[in-house]
Amino acid sequence: MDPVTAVEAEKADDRALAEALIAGRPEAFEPFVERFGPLIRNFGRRMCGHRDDADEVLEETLLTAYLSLKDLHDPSALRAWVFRVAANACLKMRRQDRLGAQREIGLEEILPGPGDGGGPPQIPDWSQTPLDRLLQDELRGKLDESILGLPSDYRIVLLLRDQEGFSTRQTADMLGISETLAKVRLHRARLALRKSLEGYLKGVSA
Amino acid sequence: MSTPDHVLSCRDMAKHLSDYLDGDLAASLTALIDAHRGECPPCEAFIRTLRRSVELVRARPREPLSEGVKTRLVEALRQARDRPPRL
Repeated sequence: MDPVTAVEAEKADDRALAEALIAGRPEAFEPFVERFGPLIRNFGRRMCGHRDDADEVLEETLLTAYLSLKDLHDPSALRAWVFRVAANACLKMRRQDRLGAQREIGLEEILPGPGDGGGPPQIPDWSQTPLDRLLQDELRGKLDESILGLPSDYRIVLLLRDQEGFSTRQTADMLGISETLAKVRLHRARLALRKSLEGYLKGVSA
Repeated sequence: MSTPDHVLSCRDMAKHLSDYLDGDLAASLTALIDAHRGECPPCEAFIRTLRRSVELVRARPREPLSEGVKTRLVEALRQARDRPPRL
């Protein structure tokens, strides 16, 4: 199935699921949990870092999303709806200072400085290492550490855009920020992630 | 010394790299970056590793839910339907 067809099929499935939930059909609960449980728990785990907090985000998200479905105008947008609720659950944790210290990422800390003697910087190129090798257990842990090391305002944008594939506009709407700010945070989060991964991966060969 | 309009400095180029990777840049700026990376090995490595970083986030596998968690969540939804809590 090509990507466009897959997206349309997913929307049709989500529409049917949302309509069954809104109609109060209990047989829709299991597919709802199967569809969104792993997505939201994974999102919560990478956002919060702690298993208990991720479980809290998951339960709060599914219950709140279900109970507020009457406000969902487009049932085919169920996925964005559920993630909006999940983002709010995470932002609530941020207000409670449970997601780590807030700070801005400055460009100076994530762009390479000059190399030895003021010449061009040396940039290790680990991009040819196969993805499955980079995602083996130890390095996968380093990826998680690197994402978790981002300030939460940046982390949430990176996860919504690059992990979940939402557009900049959808991401900005979910977080109540401008598209410009979402773009700035995404860019700096990616640069910071690249720099952090470089520390782990510069010695990894293809 | 300022950089001529038809050439991008490494630092100026870095500001646009996310839009470049996402295909959201104007064609003229995309062409400038394409030209720059062809002549600047450090920037070429930087762009390739930045792209790989994004791919890694996308490719990270998700862990399945345990049966116990699934059952608990389905039950919580059933209870919420029967006794909607105040949000």
